[in-house]
Amino acid sequence: MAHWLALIPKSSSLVSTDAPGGSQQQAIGWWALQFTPRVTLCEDAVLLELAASERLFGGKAALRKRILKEAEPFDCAARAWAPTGMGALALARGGVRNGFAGPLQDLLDALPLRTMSRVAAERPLLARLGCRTLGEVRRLPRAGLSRRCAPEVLKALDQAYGEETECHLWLELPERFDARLELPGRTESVAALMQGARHLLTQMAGWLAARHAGIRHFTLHWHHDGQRARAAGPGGELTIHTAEATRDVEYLGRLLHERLNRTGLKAPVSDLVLCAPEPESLTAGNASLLLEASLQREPLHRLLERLSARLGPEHVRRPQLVADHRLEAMQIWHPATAFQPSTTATTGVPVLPQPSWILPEPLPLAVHQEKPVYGGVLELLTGPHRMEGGWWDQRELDGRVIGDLTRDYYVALSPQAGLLWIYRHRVVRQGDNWFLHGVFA
Amino acid sequence: MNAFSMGQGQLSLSDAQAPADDAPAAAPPVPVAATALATLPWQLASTVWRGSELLQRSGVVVPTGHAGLDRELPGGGWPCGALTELLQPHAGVSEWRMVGPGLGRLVAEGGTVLLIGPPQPPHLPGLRQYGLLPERVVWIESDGADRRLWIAEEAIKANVQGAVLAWLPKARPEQLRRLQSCAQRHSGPVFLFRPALVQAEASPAPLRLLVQPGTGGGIRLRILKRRGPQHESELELAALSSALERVLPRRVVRSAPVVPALHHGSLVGADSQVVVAGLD
Repeated sequence: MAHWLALIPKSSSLVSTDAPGGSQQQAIGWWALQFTPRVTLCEDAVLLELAASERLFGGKAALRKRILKEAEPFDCAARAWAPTGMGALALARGGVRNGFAGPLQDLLDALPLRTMSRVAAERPLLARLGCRTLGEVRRLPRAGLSRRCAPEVLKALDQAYGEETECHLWLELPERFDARLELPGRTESVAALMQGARHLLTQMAGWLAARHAGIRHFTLHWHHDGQRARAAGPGGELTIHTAEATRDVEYLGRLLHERLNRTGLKAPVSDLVLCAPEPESLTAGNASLLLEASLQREPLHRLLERLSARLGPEHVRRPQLVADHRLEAMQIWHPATAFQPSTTATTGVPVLPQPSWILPEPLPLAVHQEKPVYGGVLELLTGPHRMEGGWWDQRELDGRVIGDLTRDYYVALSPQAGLLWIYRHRVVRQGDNWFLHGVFA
Repeated sequence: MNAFSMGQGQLSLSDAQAPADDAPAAAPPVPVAATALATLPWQLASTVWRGSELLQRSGVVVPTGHAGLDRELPGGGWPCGALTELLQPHAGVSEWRMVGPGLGRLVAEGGTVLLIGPPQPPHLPGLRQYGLLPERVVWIESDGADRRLWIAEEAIKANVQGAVLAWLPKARPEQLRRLQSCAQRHSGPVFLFRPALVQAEASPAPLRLLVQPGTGGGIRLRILKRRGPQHESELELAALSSALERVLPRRVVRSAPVVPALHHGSLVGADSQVVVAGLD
């Protein structure tokens, strides 16, 4: 037996301009394509034929439960199950949820005329004949009825009651996601813009769900209102990258919000366009049998992406070691979002002591009775550890010039500042000659 | 001062047994509380925590890598799912010697170390000597106390496997309380580095240590607060990385002191016998 579900979206104040039947309906349609290829947009509703998918999703009950749970974010106004598509639609409008609760005919007979749009169109005539429910219309003589009103009425009734086959134009998925949304009002606030953007993201997530895919990057364009200041330009755009393909609306929305907060809007915005060029197939995560703490963990890369979006990518850093003998050239810090863990074997553990903090710039030390001072007179514990050379590699690193050096390093003990890594220029220069370079903290 | 050091009256109970072994003739009278406890079924008796004892059944811990310190900490290591406050007169003097060995173990198990607002840029070759792999270290830089708090909270809530280290010199007690409540759902240790000046302030962290430079590159340590009896003496840890130990002169390494064996007598204050028994 066929197994149909009708979902009627709530009429939304946000209207997508180039979607044919209202964006929410289309969004639900795209989202529903992940459960069955037989999805159709019929009048104001989305109809799904699920009979063929029941086994794949673990039975009728499991499939229904899953669909209802995942449909929650769409906030549907009404829904109904029934053995026929038109029947499910009529039941949904009539407020009956389960069309399998009794014989379909009995359930449909009790519904008022407004539940089927074809029948409702002939309402003045039918009302004069004394019909208030579908059942009463069905009891009228067929021949007379077909003469007096449009032939679609009988056809629609037959389809709803399962006496004639239904034919639908199944929904097809576009290759590229490119949706446009006109905001209900001109807005300059990021929060209001996000409301529209979330709407588009939900649509995109539905489109991705149908393709069983995720995205690594998407772009949001916004157009400034016509009355903008000239300096503001026609609009702006923001591309969001993620480390892993995803279609998590909540997460993408948070990233977008953080970035928008940092970028800011130069002028009131009138409409939004969301493009997602390259979907990537996404394998569903394996569910664990064990109750693990890891269930509540957020993956590290997600945390770092969120922090980078708020603080700026240059503030969240991950290191890479470089084989170099000069302290300032031993490591490079990369923004975490651009970080690729090195595939080459990392350098081994250094045999000689290395400080655990390094000063961004060597600090010249005061000298008292020929001894360097830093938090008290320093006691040189061991050294010199001579470091020389580097003329072959003169360059600028983080705003400092590194190159040739001639230094003697010592481990020094300060009464207050602990163990220090200090050096002295071997070629004595004028003025400062002792420098603090690191701390064995 | 210490919320966990209540119940001084019951104290002699645990200590009463120790000297009794040495000198049964001079066994002190057993207090009423002890007999009351003895009559409890063992399942119940084992769940009673006496104020005089270190809490042994605390949650998951990470060994600190300092045997002397482990003996003094409830559960025998850095607590997971709770804040650990390390107070220092100056930031950037002894952080890694304190927590480095413990973090090395976390990293070996696949953990990541998040550094939030460290006082200096970390030097990875040095951290490598504690077992911290470069790909497991993240440096999150931010000025502004509020922003750092936000980062710390997000990092703790994300519950990434590993440890969170945050330098929060200006955090107020109510802000720390918020972090502590977040930390209870974190599966690793959370270290907060703060100035020694705040030791008089109230803190929600169940473990607070005062860390000062000691003689010869060692660390002097006072446990300001722990789940157990108040610890009044000072601990000295050698706490040198093995590479430093190899090159430093003997006198420096040797002067790093032997850690005294654990004694819970400090709370009683009078019973020196207990300490002797502990050393045996």
